Amino acid sequence: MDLLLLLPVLLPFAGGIVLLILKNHQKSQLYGNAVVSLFSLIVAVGLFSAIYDKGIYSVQLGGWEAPFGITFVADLLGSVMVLITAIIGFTTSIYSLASVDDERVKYGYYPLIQFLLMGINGAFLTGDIFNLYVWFEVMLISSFVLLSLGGTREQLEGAIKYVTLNLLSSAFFLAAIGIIYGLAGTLNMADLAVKFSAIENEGMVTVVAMLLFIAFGIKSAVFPLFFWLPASYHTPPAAVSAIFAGLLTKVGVYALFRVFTLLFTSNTEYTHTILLFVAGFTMLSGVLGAAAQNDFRRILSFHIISQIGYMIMGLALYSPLAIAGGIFYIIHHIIVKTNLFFISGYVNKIKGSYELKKVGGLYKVYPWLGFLFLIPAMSLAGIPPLSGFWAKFTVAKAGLELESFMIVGVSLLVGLLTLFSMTKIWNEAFWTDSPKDAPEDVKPGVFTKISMLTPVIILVVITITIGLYAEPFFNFSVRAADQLLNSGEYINTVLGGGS
Amino acid sequence: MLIAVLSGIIIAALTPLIFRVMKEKASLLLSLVPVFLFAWYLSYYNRVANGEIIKEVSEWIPAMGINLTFSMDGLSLLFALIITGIGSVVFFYAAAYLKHDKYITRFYVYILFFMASMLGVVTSDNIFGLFVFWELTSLSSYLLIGYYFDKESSRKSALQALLVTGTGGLALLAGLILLYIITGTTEISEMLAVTGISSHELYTGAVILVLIGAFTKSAQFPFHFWLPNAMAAPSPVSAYLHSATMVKAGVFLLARLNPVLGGTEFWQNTLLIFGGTTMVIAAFLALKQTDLKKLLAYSTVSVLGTLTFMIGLGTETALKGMVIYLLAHSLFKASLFLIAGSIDHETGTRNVSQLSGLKSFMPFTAFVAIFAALSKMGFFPFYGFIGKETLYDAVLKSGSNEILLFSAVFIGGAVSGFVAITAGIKPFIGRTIETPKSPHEAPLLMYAGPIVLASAGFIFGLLPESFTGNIVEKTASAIAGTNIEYTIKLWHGFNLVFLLSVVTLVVAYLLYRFRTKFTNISIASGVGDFIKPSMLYDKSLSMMISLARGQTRLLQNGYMRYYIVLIVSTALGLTGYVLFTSVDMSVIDISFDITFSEVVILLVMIAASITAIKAKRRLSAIASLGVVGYGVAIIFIMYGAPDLALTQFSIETLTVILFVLAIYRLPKYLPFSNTTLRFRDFIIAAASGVMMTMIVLLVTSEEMVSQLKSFFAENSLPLAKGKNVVNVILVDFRALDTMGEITVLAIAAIGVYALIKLRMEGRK
Repeated sequence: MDLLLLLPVLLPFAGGIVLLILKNHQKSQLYGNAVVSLFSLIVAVGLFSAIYDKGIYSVQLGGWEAPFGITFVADLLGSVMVLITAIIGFTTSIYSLASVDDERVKYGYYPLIQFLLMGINGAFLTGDIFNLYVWFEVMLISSFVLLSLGGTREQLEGAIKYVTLNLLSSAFFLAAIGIIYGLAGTLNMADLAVKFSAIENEGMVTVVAMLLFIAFGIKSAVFPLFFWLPASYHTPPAAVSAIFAGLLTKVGVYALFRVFTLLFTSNTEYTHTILLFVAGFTMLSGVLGAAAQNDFRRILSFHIISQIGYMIMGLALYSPLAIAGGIFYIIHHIIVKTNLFFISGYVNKIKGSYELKKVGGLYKVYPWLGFLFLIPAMSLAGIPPLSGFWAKFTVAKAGLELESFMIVGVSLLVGLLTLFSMTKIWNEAFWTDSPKDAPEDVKPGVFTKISMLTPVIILVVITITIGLYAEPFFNFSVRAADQLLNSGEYINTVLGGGS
Repeated sequence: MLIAVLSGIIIAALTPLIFRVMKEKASLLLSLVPVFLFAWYLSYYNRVANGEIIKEVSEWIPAMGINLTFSMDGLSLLFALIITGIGSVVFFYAAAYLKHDKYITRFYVYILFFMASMLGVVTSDNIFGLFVFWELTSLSSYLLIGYYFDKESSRKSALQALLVTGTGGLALLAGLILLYIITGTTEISEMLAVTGISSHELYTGAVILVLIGAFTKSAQFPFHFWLPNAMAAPSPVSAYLHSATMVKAGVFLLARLNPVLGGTEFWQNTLLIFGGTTMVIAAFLALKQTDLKKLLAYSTVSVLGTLTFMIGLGTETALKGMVIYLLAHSLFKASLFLIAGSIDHETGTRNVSQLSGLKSFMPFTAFVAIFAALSKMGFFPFYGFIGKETLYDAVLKSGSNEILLFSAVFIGGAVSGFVAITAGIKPFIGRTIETPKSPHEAPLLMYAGPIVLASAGFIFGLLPESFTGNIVEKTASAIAGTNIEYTIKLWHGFNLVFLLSVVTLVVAYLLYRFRTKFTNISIASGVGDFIKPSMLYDKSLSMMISLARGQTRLLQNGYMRYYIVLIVSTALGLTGYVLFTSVDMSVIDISFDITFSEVVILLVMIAASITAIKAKRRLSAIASLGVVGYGVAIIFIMYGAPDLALTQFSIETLTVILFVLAIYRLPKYLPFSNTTLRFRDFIIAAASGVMMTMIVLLVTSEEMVSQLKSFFAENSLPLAKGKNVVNVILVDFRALDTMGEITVLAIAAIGVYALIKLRMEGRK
């Protein structure tokens, strides 16, 4: 069991190193990576079912008892995030087989993907706030290198903004950690929760909360801190934007969920009100951003922002149902968003462009692709009974129960605008004819089809499953939310029942 | 009932396969689906007619209170029969109408999917189950309106319909959630037992939201404009979705929720006003249409208004009349739409002024058309006659504002007659005019179905009680929420209502006779141009897009310096606010004992910072920053952290050296900001510095208590076997951090390598 908790980090780490050593074997890169990802998926399923059955579990690394060493801890939220990460990691691996060019592979594409996954999993499983910072750094540097890998002008421009603004986030994070240590003399989050609840100087805790909000807010791309995202996500190969779109911002959201349910719960009137405003503006600003775009991936990128808003809305409303809705939203969003980026890459493969003006006529020739697009697109727009509807429904219901009419109104309006931009893609790329001067379609070969469409189909099936069979997912989210709101179990597991 | 809905969806999913195997015959086979379903629903008839309400529950998401509960009472059954009955006709019709169409497979996928969803709407007892199906009808309507997706107008109309009904859908969702909060249940049958709904504080909000949902779907004013545009769809779709079924979903919802939400003045009056307005405005707009389908579409809108109006009226007679009218309308309007499709198909035009004397070419079609038209006009002894008589009767007996209400209904009725003559009779009589295609009779499949519908309108008229008595009674009872008993009769004698009915026909004829006189000049065009909510739609769409462009250009403008300013200011604002409002700053202790050497170092660092800011060249800026770094290192030494100082020295030195190496490759250093901007940046930077300093001072003003320090110091040697505590922390106590950071360096190395070697610019 101890090992199971560490494998989500160790496996990609070891895998990344081995792949790095085998750098010049094209074949072993491709399939080695797929195998590592498959094992990661198996491990993640094992970890998830263990936590699901037996409750929160923690490991004290090196045997140094909490709060002195570093603790790894998996609760329902953490373990489900690891599971989804593994699903996305695995599907991206298959997708990359035919879509990532040999040269990028030669320069370490696959090891970088594994290191990225390692950082992400580390962030979901660590129980130590400084260790969380370290995983953020691992994530940041591997994603930066992935973004810039290939070195085109467009990529570099995006990558520089990406890395600079994210370093700014790191700076705030680090400063906050320093202050936290000065205030409470500990870095273990469970221990911090105990110390903070007893602290006299509550104002200073709120100060720290704000600094961390800025740090994680930049990572999650909330308003008005999201600039790095639309500046960079449309530049790298589709596989890279897909995995980024699915996972990176959600690590920030996860961190916000963690600290604003575990650590900063005494002054919710201030902190969670700010979160609520941020949620509203994030939703609106993101969706309006999308409405202004004419590029497949840029539209999708802005939608990430808008949907981060829904998740934050769940957190900000801070009722059990709202948090559950937020968690449901995260699960749904990762699956659907990654998939849409996958599809955009496939369209680009056929049409040679992401520009909607240059793409068209897909519905005539590839009706199945249309179907595969419509499912995640309509799910994103919250059309029932797909996954996005239940997510939106739960958050909206929670809001109405609390009589927060304004934010619910905003969220529903944003739903409409989301529908608008999904139909825009549908309209331009699928319904409208190709422009006259468009180049001939590139017909993908069998291998390309298998490699690029299998992941799409897998994720479509998951989306439909969550939609039609929502009960277990909803119940799970409620349980996970309950664990977050009643942090006793978490704290006791980490600190061994004492202190 | 779940089976009925699911079978439609499953068959829709299998349709591509069926077409692959059966080729052209597939469409006929699929047309049997609604026929079977019609028979299946009909098998419930006796039980429902006896007043039974059949329920069926399948768990779906019980944790959210959302289940697939179905219930069948008169209202549900009537709608289900209309949906499957007219569905049968439309499916067969489409088999001929779209025979040579390339995308006929997709048509059947969507229309089956639609039919199943629509059946779900009318038989659901769970409000959220109903909502799920409701949205699916909007979606399938979108795909069907956009069936001719090559045409820009089709795409635009599809989007418009989707956005308008989508807006309503979201409002409805909120309304239903409120209803759930008010009543504590998600089942409509259980809501009926809840009392005090109308006195709940959320009642008005819930009603408004539900009404927006119903009004958008049923094309009530001011949302009516999408329906005529939806005529871009193929004729079978117009007949089915946009006349007989989907657009009636809103009316259905009003009827279904009438016993739950109704009975208040707010509910009744709102329905009366919006229904009445829709009825009259759509009638005026219909007068100037020359396109056969648009003409019928406006007339449909007017009828939908009438139905809403009658629920608003709410008396027993009104509800009764509403049900009869609804049934009659479904029969004759679907026929007329299908005939319009046939005319279009066979002559190549839908322009009324170009159509005349077709009866000799299309005798069967002409026969159906005239039958349907007579029913629509309210001609004796058709079913439409009974509908109109009951409606007039209800209005005259309403008890208040009879004259106003009656004039509205009269206008609706007269224009309905006018439309019937123009669309159903005029194209077939008179002298022949040349049409784009030389006309001939439509294939059997295209008039057989309409014949059935039109004959039903005739037979129901002759024997209203035996054919429709029970179902109308049970439907009206379901809408009222109480038991209504009533016998339908064709003939009520020569009374005021009959007289008015005759006058209506005369006026309708006069309107037709002098139609050319007022299409150009009359109030019709005036009213039509003045009240144009579609402009509101266009306006708000374009406003939204320019707002979107504006805000995005403003926020995401591509300048990193601006991004940084915004992020730092946000941090400053949020943190500063807390600092000033809820932190006691008086604890800051500024009476340090400060040594001379410290002052010197600080002054040097400050001077170096200023030099860095003012530097005109990169090199001097970097050198000055190096000085600041060295200053920090010296402070480390003074406070007893030599290892930290060593690290700091090497980092600073390396940084400066690397920069110097790289600097000559960089483009010329250009200052981008003017004095004002610099001043702004100075303020932000200074404020951030001051804030961080204050936070640090606040934290250090209290004695730090930490178990960690003493634990590390005590256990470093005995347990971890290392004398240097810092080293032990790095490689043992917190080894994972170190491993992570080493990984970061390794990855950075890969990045550097790749950045230098791999340049894919200009390659695919």
